[in-house]
Amino acid sequence: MNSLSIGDTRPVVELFGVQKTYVTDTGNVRALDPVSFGFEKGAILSVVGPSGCGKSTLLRILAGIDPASGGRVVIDGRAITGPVPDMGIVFQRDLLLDWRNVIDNVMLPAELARRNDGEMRARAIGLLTELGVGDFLNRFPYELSGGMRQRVAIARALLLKPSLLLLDEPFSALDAMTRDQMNVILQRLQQHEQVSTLLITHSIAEAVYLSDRVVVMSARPGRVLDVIDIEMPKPRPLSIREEPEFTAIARRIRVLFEKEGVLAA
Amino acid sequence: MSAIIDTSSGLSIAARRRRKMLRNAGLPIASALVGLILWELLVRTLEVPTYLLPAPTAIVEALIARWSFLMTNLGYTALSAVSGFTMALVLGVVLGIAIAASPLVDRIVYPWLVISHAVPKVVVAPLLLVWIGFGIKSGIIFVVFFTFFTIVVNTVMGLKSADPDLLHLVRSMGAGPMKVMWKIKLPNALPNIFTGIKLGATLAPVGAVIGEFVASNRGLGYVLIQAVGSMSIDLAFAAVFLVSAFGIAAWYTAELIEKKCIPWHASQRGQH
Repeated sequence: MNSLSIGDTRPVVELFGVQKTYVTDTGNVRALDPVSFGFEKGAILSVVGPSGCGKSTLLRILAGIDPASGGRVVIDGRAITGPVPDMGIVFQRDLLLDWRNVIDNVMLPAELARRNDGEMRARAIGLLTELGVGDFLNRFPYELSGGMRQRVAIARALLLKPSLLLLDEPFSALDAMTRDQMNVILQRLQQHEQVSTLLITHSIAEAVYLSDRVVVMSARPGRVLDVIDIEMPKPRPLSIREEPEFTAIARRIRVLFEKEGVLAA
Repeated sequence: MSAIIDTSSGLSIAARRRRKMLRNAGLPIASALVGLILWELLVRTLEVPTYLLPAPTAIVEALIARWSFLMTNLGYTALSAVSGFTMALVLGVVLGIAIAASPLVDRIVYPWLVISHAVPKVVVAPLLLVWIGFGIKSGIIFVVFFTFFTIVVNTVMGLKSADPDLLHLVRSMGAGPMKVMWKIKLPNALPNIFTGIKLGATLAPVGAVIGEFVASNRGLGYVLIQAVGSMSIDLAFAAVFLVSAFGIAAWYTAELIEKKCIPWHASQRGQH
């Protein structure tokens, strides 16, 4: 790793030997073997792996929710030790506040940061419009479909222009068609916002379609099987998933899982 | 880009709701009327004496004959019920917040709460006369004692049921304990708090009446005791009717406020 590189190629997130062991009554459970990888400002990195591979553990460490048992996480040059305010997170469940309408849900981070002003409100409306829910500002979450709720959650995560966007299987609960649609929207918005994004997913297609780099993880205890850079130019049409270059990468990942016994025939 | 839009129109939902409300209100009323008519018929055909069980019409007659007397005493009972319940509500929510916010307070206060609830309150009522004396003060304190527990327990349950991931999320946005309580936990607890309010609101007039049994010379509880003592069972029933009507009114008032305050909650969206 070239420590002299600066500007846009400077790694925004770096993990050095990050690992997690849970101590339980019946002994220690290794959730995550030491993993190291990094990615650059404005890029999307996906971590793809089977259920229980420690993907979510990794995200919780990055978000400062759980401490790592070892190793170091450096975000924008700072080692993280607790919750990082400068971070947007979207979970699989949208976690919207039922008692707030759409715009007030999106404004929550601004309120908490005491930046609840007209400029922020305009940005919130702009984000919601870009996400295709600009006409629903005064609706309540229970009036929206799952896909629309998740769009609101994405707008909320992006409001304060975070230096890092963490997405923990954000589209897993959506139907296949909505999921495709969300992939297209997320790709466009991520490019527009130039936000460094870490996506946790168990969909190989989603990881390859969206990412600049894919980290492939093994089953528990999770370890890095491969790191693949995806060079295909963005924005990518959904039909790219049928292109030979795309299918070759997807196949490469699938073969790794097959060797691991995760996807054995 | 086309958004996926919920196309169910607001108008048809409103119309369906109105029809549903009519059906919801109509059935219970019809059911109560049928019960009253059966009661009247039974008393008349079996010639039950009034001092055992008066017919509904006899109760209505007593109500009309002693209207202003009954209303004065209802006012007295209502005063101690409402002021006692208001105090219990404020104390209960504040203590609930303290219990939910601090495990230390939780451990210290919880056994006392359970004890106060387990003690048979009706048995303790006569002691109020000794401790606090005759009059409305002991009635009010008895109402607090009677309704406090359900409010605290429901408040604590609501405050503790906030989604852990949601709490992580807002803490990652930089929210401190006060902000988390005020912006997340408390609104999230409102449905539970309203459950406590509705249960407490119906308990309050009962508590007031029990207080009046032992430590008052006014109020419907006193009227009830006196009426039974002089075998004026129709008057006693009229008093019971008024206490019940007051409790029912308290319940529906609380429910109305609930509807206004938490329209977003699943219980308020007619999906029972």
